[in-house]
Parts: sequence; structure tokens; C-alpha cells
Amino acid sequence: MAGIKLKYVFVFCLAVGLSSCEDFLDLTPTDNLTDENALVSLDDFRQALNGCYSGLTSRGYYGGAYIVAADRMSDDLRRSSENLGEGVQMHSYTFNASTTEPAAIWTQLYAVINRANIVIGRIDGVEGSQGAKNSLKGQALFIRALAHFDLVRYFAQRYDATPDASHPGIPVMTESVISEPPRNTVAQVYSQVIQDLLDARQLMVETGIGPIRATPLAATALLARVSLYARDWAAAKQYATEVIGSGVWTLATGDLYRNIWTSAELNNEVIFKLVMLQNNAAIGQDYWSQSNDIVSFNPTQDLIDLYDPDGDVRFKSFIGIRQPADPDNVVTKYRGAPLDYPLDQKPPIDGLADIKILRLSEMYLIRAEANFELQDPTAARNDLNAVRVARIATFDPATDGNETGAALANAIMIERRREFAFEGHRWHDLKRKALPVMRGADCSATQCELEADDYHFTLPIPQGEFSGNVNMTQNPGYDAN
Amino acid sequence: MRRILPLFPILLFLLLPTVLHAQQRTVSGTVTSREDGGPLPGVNVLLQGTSLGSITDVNGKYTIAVPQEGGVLVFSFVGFVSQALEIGAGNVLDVQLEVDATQLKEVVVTGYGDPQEKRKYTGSVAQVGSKLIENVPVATVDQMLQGRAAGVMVTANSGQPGTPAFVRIRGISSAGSVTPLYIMDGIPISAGDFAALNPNDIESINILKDAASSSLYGTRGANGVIVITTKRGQEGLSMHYNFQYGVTTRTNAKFDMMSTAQKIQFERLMADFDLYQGEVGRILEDGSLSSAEKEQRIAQLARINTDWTDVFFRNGITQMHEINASGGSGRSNFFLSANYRKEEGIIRESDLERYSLRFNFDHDASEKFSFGVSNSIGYTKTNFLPTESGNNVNNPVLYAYIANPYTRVKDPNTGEYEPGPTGFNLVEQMDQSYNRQEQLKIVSGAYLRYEIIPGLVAKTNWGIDFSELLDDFRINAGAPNQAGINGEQGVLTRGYDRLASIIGTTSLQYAFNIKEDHNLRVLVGHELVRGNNMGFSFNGYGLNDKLGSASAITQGTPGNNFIAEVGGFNTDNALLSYFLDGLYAFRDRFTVSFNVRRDGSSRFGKNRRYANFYSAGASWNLMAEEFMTRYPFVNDLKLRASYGTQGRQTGIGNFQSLALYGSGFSYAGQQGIAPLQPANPDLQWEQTASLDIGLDFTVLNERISGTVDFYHKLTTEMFVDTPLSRTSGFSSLSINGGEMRNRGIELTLNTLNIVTSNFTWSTDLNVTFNDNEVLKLTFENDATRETGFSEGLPIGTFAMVEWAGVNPANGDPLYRDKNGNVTNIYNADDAVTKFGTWDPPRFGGLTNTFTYKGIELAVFFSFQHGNVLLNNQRFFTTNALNFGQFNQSVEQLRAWRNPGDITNVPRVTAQREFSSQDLEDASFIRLRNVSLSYYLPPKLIARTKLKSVKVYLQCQNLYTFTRYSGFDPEDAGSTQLSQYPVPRVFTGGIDIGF
Repeated sequence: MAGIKLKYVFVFCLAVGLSSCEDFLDLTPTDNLTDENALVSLDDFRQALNGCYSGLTSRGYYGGAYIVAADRMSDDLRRSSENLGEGVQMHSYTFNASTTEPAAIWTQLYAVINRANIVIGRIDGVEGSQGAKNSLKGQALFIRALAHFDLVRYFAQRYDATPDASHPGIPVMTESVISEPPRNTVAQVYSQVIQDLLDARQLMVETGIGPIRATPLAATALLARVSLYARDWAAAKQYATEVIGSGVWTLATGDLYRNIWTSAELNNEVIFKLVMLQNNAAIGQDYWSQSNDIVSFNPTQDLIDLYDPDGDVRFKSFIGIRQPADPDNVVTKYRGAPLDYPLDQKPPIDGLADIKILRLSEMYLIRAEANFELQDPTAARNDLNAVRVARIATFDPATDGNETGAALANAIMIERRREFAFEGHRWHDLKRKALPVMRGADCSATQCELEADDYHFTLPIPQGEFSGNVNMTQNPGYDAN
Repeated sequence: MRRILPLFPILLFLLLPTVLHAQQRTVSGTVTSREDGGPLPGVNVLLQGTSLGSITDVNGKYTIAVPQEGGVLVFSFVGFVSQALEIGAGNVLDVQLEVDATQLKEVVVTGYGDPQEKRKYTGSVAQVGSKLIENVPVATVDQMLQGRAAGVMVTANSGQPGTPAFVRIRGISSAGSVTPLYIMDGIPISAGDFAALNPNDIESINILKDAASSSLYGTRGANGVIVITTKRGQEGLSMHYNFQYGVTTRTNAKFDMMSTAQKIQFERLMADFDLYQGEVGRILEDGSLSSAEKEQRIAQLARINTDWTDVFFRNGITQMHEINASGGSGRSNFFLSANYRKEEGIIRESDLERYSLRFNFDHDASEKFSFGVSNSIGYTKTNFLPTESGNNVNNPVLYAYIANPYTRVKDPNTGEYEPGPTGFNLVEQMDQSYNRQEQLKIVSGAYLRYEIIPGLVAKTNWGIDFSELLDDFRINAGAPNQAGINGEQGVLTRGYDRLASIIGTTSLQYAFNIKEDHNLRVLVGHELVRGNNMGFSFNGYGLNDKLGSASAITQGTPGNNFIAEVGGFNTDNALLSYFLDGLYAFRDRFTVSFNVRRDGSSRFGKNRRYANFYSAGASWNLMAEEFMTRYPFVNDLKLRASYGTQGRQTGIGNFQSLALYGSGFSYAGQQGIAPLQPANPDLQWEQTASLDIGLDFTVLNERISGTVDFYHKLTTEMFVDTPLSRTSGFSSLSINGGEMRNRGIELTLNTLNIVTSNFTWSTDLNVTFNDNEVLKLTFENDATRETGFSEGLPIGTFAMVEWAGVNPANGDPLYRDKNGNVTNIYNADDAVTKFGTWDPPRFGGLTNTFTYKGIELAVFFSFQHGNVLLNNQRFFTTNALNFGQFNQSVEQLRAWRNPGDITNVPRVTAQREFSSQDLEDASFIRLRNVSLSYYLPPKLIARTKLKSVKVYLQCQNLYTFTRYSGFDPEDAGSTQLSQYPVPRVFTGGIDIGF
């Protein structure tokens, strides 16, 4: 009896089991988005653009390596006695194509470019207001330009290494594609960067969301910097003037300035910055990790000596003097602590601070340099003194600010070094000006000097790139094998 | 459970008087075969309910001591039906045994269809019986397979209780995962969750190694299949209580660290080179101290001599209680077991507790219809070391050796923790933190079987493999080494991870004969597998010390910064398959088998969704041939061969073929997305084509039997990550590209060396020689220091700069460059690949079993030979320049000091680099297990109404013979990173049947 019924059960089971169901195998991921559903609405593109900004904040980029590697190669940092080997290859110029930092920078910056290209390439097909679409596209163009520029200043020789900048730059990527591109010339890279920034200026709508996202003026400010590197002094002066003349920002003084660098995160002078939150990379720990009580690099004595410890508002903001109690002086620029927070106390959030990428003071100093190169020392001095007056309480332009000629050029360089300490600028300034690295008496590296235009001024293209790109060529000096 | 404990001494007490009254007599006789009347040597003669036994000699004669009042003797022999006879009054008992046509014991269980006769089986299957698994003092069954089966290489990852082992069958045949497929009672179970399964429930393990046996598993078969069959009920009733108790201790480290006196001496030596490291270095460097003050402070340090290994290591206690019952009416049978196991690790704060239950039930509703269930529930609670591997100061295994002996855990006067050598004290850290896991694992299945007409059987089997893991990690407020930004006020991390996999297999099997001579069997089937893995986790901050759960967390606000972090995941996969398995046997002479399987997998790209696999096999029983009568010493001889394909889908993610965007890219607190991986719609399975040729033999009156297998496995379409130009935004793309070969010889030999009436000595040996080579890669890949994977070399080949000693002139370390010239410049590009691989090319096991009356002693060695390991911890313990502030190996005292010194330890100020001096021969022979068991004589227990009492000793990892100088040459990877060492275990137990 039971047997007969059970026969039907089996037939049923077999039937259910054997019925082929294609759908059974078509599973959709629930943790991630696919090509089909990732970029459908305008809001999806907003998120994709956030992904681009997020890329800027990553450890390989402004959240760490991009800035830190430059500082470690420069004369602003010395290896501390507590350093267990972190960053020593960069510091001692023993890096090669397999070293972590160049690979991280190269990989991360191209990842950002790819993210931007996805937005740029696909946003026109989405429904939404043209203004909103333009704004998103313009920001993506700004980010693409920034990443290309940041790559070319690390991985190619300085702009004027050849008269027409025809030496190898980096591959220019204007679409999201898997390919094996050869290197464009430096001139081509700069041309694309400038074009992207000009387009970005046109497209971006001033939204008033402040310095944490790209704006037309941010694009203009970046154009000023790019023009400076390209030695287009007139353009640099023009763009810097546009930003200064916009009247949006004024040079900050006193605590208004110092609180740009504290947990107060004031936005005085800040044209463009990256917001760094708890889950972001804590760049300050690459210099001084209070959590682990390890100082990996100290500010050099040469740098310390450049500041007036009492009069210069920057000194206390950037540098912590702990000697003689502790042999290690520390970088406090990214400490993220409240104003005048004691050095021996760990701040609530260690080493995390917003990354300021473009500030008004840079526009003054760019214009000062451009004016100097344009044979206008008076205008140059005026711009330089504007910064010095704002920063140094004891500075009297009438008596202290009368440099001329080489002294004036040098003063501009010193001011850039003081203003942008630990922001990576120093290394790139030495490189573009064809100056050597001359470390002082407290140098603890195995190599304390680097001749001007030494091949180490150009980072090696990472080994991994060659595994996937037959058209890539290495920079001089690194292809010994 | 604990209340059962006192039973043990009470029982002993009860049993004791009976020993004095045992009186015995001797029974003897001859055992012959009913078929031809010839004597049968090697027959087991056992007094029922005991292990009192004997074995017949070459003339079939036996002698056995039995109690005065007699009892029942059981005669058993492979291939014959066992017989039980009442002894009666006489002292002679002759027996005739009947040939067992079904040969039930000699079957192969492949998981699909009914068990198959081994005599006719064409595939290569290794079998491990319950006897080798029972009561082994290790929590997980995968580790117990170590050295037990030819072709199966098992290495423990860690000595931490309950951790899974690294298992590979016939070599590493993929660049991805080589974990075999585990099937328990027809249900695929997740690898790595064995801690929640009771090994004592296992009846047998069949390891399917070649294509004929495993290609029916399609895309999951290429790593081999381990088919676990659990115990099922037998007619009648038999109950057992089993208790085991023991100690785990650490094995001896094969290296010496400095004592306080030596370390002080060494820090002075470093100071001579202006290298001021450690406390002494700091004192010597301090310019404000006079030399007398310096010496006074150093003398203070010299008074302290802490052995930090004693601080972290301990002797752990292991105990196990088990009750099981097997029984039934014959039509309805059950097997029930309950097991409790507690194992303390050899390092503080590591232990495992397991509670497990099993219920298996079978019922024959009619002659045609039967059904049954197999259920197991396991629950484990584990304390894990938060960091158990890795060369960092949070790892007690490293800390115990690099902490300076002149530092203390606590100040003896104040009782306060002293700062450790790294700025924090790990003991304090461990006291202020914990890492606990709770796991619930359920494997549950049910089957219906219906015989439609004789020989035609329909069967459907449905099951679920479910496991959930709750992970709990806490660091108290104020603990010295804080995790993360807000950790200062304590952090609690909770994670939940759930695996649920459902399988349904439905098949129709027809077995029939044509004219007696032709046996055929055809199986068609269908299978669905659906897997899901989901989980979530959170980190909360600002803990209230007095609260133990998540309620201790302070709710986050922007002001207090205690913003909790939450996360989660969910991922699915599906498999849809059809298969056909056929077998044709001609008399007992030839067998031919064939099978095909078609697998559809959700993991593969749109263009490659379905995969087909097949295999063919043949066997030839030479004993059926006339000419074999010329070789009377041969008792059995079978030649096998098989060829076929197997697939692999482990090693790629569930959605690896799709272009994916991830959501973890927020900016300024707003959600952001970014691409994670590019698409590859052509992503498909890996394929392994396997050839197997084997010989099974039994010779010399069944005294020697064994198996020899030659195999050749070629993996193609290997999963590799091919590098992309980074300008694409990606570093690599998962593709199928590359070929790898494994070939080898497996030898299994079982010999009966001595057989007398009350003493036997038998030996079981298995050896495997495996030869691996990466044949082809679609891209250039240089072998790297740790994960060698390059064309023309065995997988795991190290690329290292060759060490060339120390320059006597200046103490510089010397290396050889690519051209073999000695140089003092270390250049990673000078690495060469001549030092070998970490994957052992030769391995095996050797067991000698001795029985004397009721006593059985089994001594089991496992071994591996011909591999090297990177002794990474030496980089820390012989590195004065970078780690001289920590304790160093005594070999550092031989460091170069003056020009002309001949030594192999460089100047203390020399930069330490990885080189071939850090690669060490990791061959070893390990006395893996010694077990001694004794059945109390029945006379002794007659008055207790107990059926049997067995007492036993089980010891694990007693001694290791090796030249390796690190903790343990057994390592599941390339690099020794101060892993939790495998412990030495001594246990004793008693098994009472009633």
C-alpha cells in the first residue's frame, strides 16, 4: 500500500529534480553591484564620484604614500632612532621598480583615473538635469587632471628636461579600458591636464559646498600650479590672480591659521581639501604614531632652524619639540588634536586630519615665483611679503622683506618650504628647480645628498606595470637588469 | 558531564577483587575452509566481548586461554563469514569457515549509489577505518589522516586546539585552493569546521583519488574527495561509556635564546660598535651617568632572569566523555552518541570545549522501501589567542622568546605590570583582552530508498550543512596596546558568520546480470546544491568594564567619538548537475567502468556555464586466470587503470566572472561606489586530467598485501590572476591560464610479520613520491621569496639570494650574485631558485602494531622528506641592528668582532637580509601516535554485568627527528611565522561496554 504511494513520491522528486532551471544558476550578488545595476540613476553617479574622492583619500594617495614618500625623500625629514625600517628605501634612495611606495602610488592614482573615466564616459547617458550632470562630470574631470598631474610629476623627469617637453611622461587615460598604452610625452600629459581643468571649470557649478569638493576656483588654482610646473609664468600668474582676486578667501593669521591644522578644521584659506574621517587613513601616523609610541621620522634641524619659533605661527602647528626629554622631535601637522594639546597626551584621534590640497597661500607664492620669473621683483616681493606678514608676527616687510635677485628667488623657495612642510611640495620643488637634496648634519640616512637631476628624482615605473603592459618603458637608471 | 567522573575510580574498585579469582583453561583447534578443506592461517580468534584473542598459524591451528566456565569464540577472516561458537566443556574446537560472497567489509563508498565491491572497483581509493580515528587525542578528524593514507598529505596549521589542517591529495594541483571535497553521509560539508564533529562517530573514511572514483563529483572533484561514513545501528543493543583524560605539553624548542648574563654581555658587545640597544645599551649610552652608576644599574638588571616561555606556556588538560548506543530490531536500527571534549592549549587563553550529539536511524518499512536519517549537532566554545601567528609582538609564541630575560611581568614589590620590551606588556594585554568563538554546526540529512523491481533502485537524499560562528573579541578599557583610534576606552568586536548549504541528490540505479557472467550496473542521477554564506559584525567602543556583552558599549556621538562600526556580507552559489555512472563486469575477471557528469555552476562566466566531465576505468583480476595457478604464493592480484577528467571551482569567488562595484568607498560620510574587479565572461572551471595505473596484491599466505599506484595529473585552465596594466585601474584579472603537473608513485604495504597463538606483529607502511611542476603560465611570473610560482619549477620553490658567509676582514655578510661571485652587496635580483620547495615531495606513515593476548600496542610514525622552510623568526632573533633591543639567539654571541675572526655571524651593525641561510631542511620523522590498549579479561568483569572494559593510553607527537632549528618543521605554508607549536599529548582512557 505504502509502496504504491511512494512510487508517486519518487516520480515527483525525480520530476522536480530533473527539471532544468536556468534561473537556478543565475545568481545576483547582494554585496556588490554589477555592471547592470551600478550606474543607472544620477544618484548612482553621485556615489561613483564619491568613489573618486574616496580614492584621493586612500593610503596610496593623499591618505599616505603620495605625500609621505616625497617628504621622506626630501631634506625635511630624518630617520628616527625608533624607525624599524619603515620608509627607509625612499629615504635612502635605495628604491627600485619593486619598492612598495612607487607601486602603491602608480596603482592607486590610475585606479582614481579609471573611476573618474567611468563617470565622465557614462554620465551623459543618464537621465537628470544637465546642470547636475555637468557638475558631476566637471568634478570627475578635475580629479582626472589632478591624478595625471600628480603622476607625471613623480614618474617623469621635470617639465624642462627637454626643450619641448617631448621626453616620456605617463600614459594619458581618457577612458575606462583595459589596454597596454605606451607613455605619452610630458607635453601631451600637461596638455591633457590643462584641457581637463579648463573643461572642468566650464562644467562645474558653484554649489557652495565648500572646499571639500572641487569647484571652478579649485580648478583655476590647480591650473596655476600646473602652469608653474610647466614654466608658463604668465598663465601661472593669471590663474593665481583669478583665485586671489575672487575675494573668497583671505590669508589667515594667528589662531585662525593654527586652527586650520587642529581638530577644529577651520577652512580659512582652504580652496580644496579632502575630508578625512575615522575610517580613513591616518597619515599623521606615518610620521609619528602616538598610538604605538613610535616616531618613524623627525623634522630635520635645518627645517626647524628656518622658523622663528616664537614669531612664526606655523612652527607650533607643524613641529613638536620634545628634546631634551625625548630625542625625537615630531611632526604635528596631521595630529588632529585640539589647539595647544599637550605633546605627551595622545589626542582622541591620532594622526587623522583633513588633507589640504590647495590653499590661498600657495596662490600668493605661485604668483610671487611667476612674477619673479617675469622680471617683476616688486610684485614678487609683495606677494611673498603678504604671506610672511600673515604668518610671522615679528615680520616687518619694510625691514625684512627687501630681497632682490637670487636672494628673492631663494626667499620664495624658503617660504614654500616653511608653508608647505610635510605636504610633499619640497621634493617636487627641488626637482622642478633642478636643485640637489643637501641634508644637514643630523642626517641619519645612508645617503645624505642627492645631486640635482639625479635619476632618483624620477620614480621607477613599478615592476607590476611591465607584467601587464608590453609597451611600457622604464625610466633611466632603473633598468640595470 | 562532570558528574560521571567519579565513576572511574569506583569501577576500578569494584573490579579489583575479581582479578584474584580468575581461573583459566586452554582451548585449541584447527580452522579450515569449508570450500576446499584447506587450513586457514591468520584467522582471528576472539573471545566474544573481550579483546582476548589469538590468530591461527600457517596450519590453521590456534590456542587460546579462556575462562574456566567457557564463553563464546568468534572466528573471523577477511573474505569469510565470521562464526561464533560456544566453547562448551571440551578443550578442542575445530571450525570450518564459509566464503563470504558479499565480502561486506571490502567495499568502496563513493557517495553516489550503493557501496561497491572493492574487488571489482576500477578506481584508486584509500580507506581509513574507525580504529585509526577512535580516541586519537586531537579535536579534528582532518589532522588524524596525517600519514595514514598514501597520496594524502596533511599538515597542521597550528597547535591551537580545533584549528583545521592543510590537506592536499596527490600534490598541489592548482594555484588556488586545493582543499578536497568532504562528503559526510552524502552531504557535502564545509572544510575547516571539523572541531564541531566528533571523530569517534566515524565508521570509515574513503579517500577518492583518481578520475574513476572522483570525476562523478564534476567541478568539485579535482582536489580529491574525502567520503566520511558515520556509524549506523546494528541489531541488538550495545552501549559504551568512554572516558579519556590527559595532559598536553609543549615540545622542546630546538634553539636557545640568551640568558640575562648573555644578553647583558651581548648588549655590551653591541655598544662597542656604537649600537646602543636594549636596557643595557640605554644605560651605556646615557651620558649623564658615571661609569660606576652604569655598572650599578646593569648589576640590578643582572639579578632578574625571567623565563618568558614559562609565563606563556603551560601544561593543558584534555578530557573527553562519551556515551554511545547502537541497536535496533533489525528492521529499525539506531546509533546514538553524545560526546563532551575539553582541550586546553599549551599557551594560556587557548582552549576548546565541544558538545556533540549524533542520531542516525534506518528503517525498512517493507522489503522494498526503506528510509533513514543522519543527524549531527556540534557546539564548540573556543578561546583563541588573538594573534597566534605572525612575527609581531602581539604573538605570545614570538614574545615568549624575544622578551628580554632581564624584564619582568610584574614588579614584585608593587604588583604592577612592568613595561615590556616593546613598550607594552603582553601579559597585561592578554589579561585585558580575549578572543572567543562559539560555533554551532548541524549536518542533517534524510534518504528514501525504493526498490521498484529487483535490481532497480530509486533513491533520493536531501541534506543540509549548517554552521554558524559567533566571534567575540574584546580589549578592555585601559589595556596597554590599543586597537584603533577609539580603543583607549575599550573595544568590543562581534562577528557572526553563517554557512548554509542545501543538497538534493536523486538517482536511479539498475543492477542486473546477463547469463550470470555479465554483471551490469547503471546509475543516473541529478543533483542540486545551493550554498549561502552571510554574516555581520560590529565594533563598539567605550566599554563598561563590568559588563560582558555588547551592552557594555557606549553609544557613539560625534562628541565622544565612540562611533560604532557595522558591516555585513551575503553571498550565494549554486550547482546544478546530471550524472551517469556505469559498470560492466565479466565474471570475476574484467571490470569496465564509465561515467559522465554535466555540471552547471553559478560561479562561471556567462559564456562558460556548463562543464562536462568523464572517466573510464578498467580492472583485471589476474587470479581468475589459469596461468596464475603456477604462482601459488600469490593470493590475490588485480591490475587497475583509469583515465578521466575532474574539475575545480574552489579558488574563485562566487561572482568572480562579473564586473563588480563595491560600496565601501564613502567620502565625507556619504556613500560611494567604485569598481572592484573587471569582468571575465569566459571564466570557467579548472580541469585536471588524471591517469592512474594501480596494482593490488596479496602474497605469501596473505602475509603481505599492498597497493602500488602510479598517477599523472595534468591541470589545465588553471585559475591565475594575470597582471594588467595598472592604467586600467586594476592590477589583475582572474583568468584560466596555466598548466601544472603532478605525477607520483604511491605505495601501501601491510605485512603480518609474526603470527603466533598469542602474539602478532604487523606493519603498515605508506609512502608517496610526488613530483610537481608548473608547466605553463600565460604570463611571466618570477618566483618570489615566499610563494614561488613560476614556469618550469615545482610550486612553492623559493627564490633566494645565496648566503656566502661572513667576511673575516670586516664582518660584512656575504652573498653570491647571479653569476656565483661573492659580494657584500645584497641585491634581491640575485635570487636563485636552487634551494627547493616548501611542499614535501616525499611523505608517508609507518605503523607497527603488536598484540599480545588482550594487549595491543600501535606505534605510528609519520614523515616527510625533501622540503625546505623559511625560518622567518630567525630574522628577528639574529638581527642585532634592527631587533637587538629584543632578546636574541645565543648564536649572536659568535658575532664577528675583530678583523680575522672566522665566524658565520656577521658584525652586529650589519644589515640583516633574508638569504639562503634562512632556508632550512624541514624533513622530519615524527613519532605521531602511540596507542596501547588492553581489554580486561571477561572473567574479571563477569560479576559487574559489564560486557567489556578496555583501558587505553593514547599519546600524540611524542618525538620529532629533524634538523630543522625552528619551533616545528611541520608547517602548512612556506614561512615559519612563530605559529602556535603542535603540542605533545599524553592521555589515558577507559571504554566500558554494557
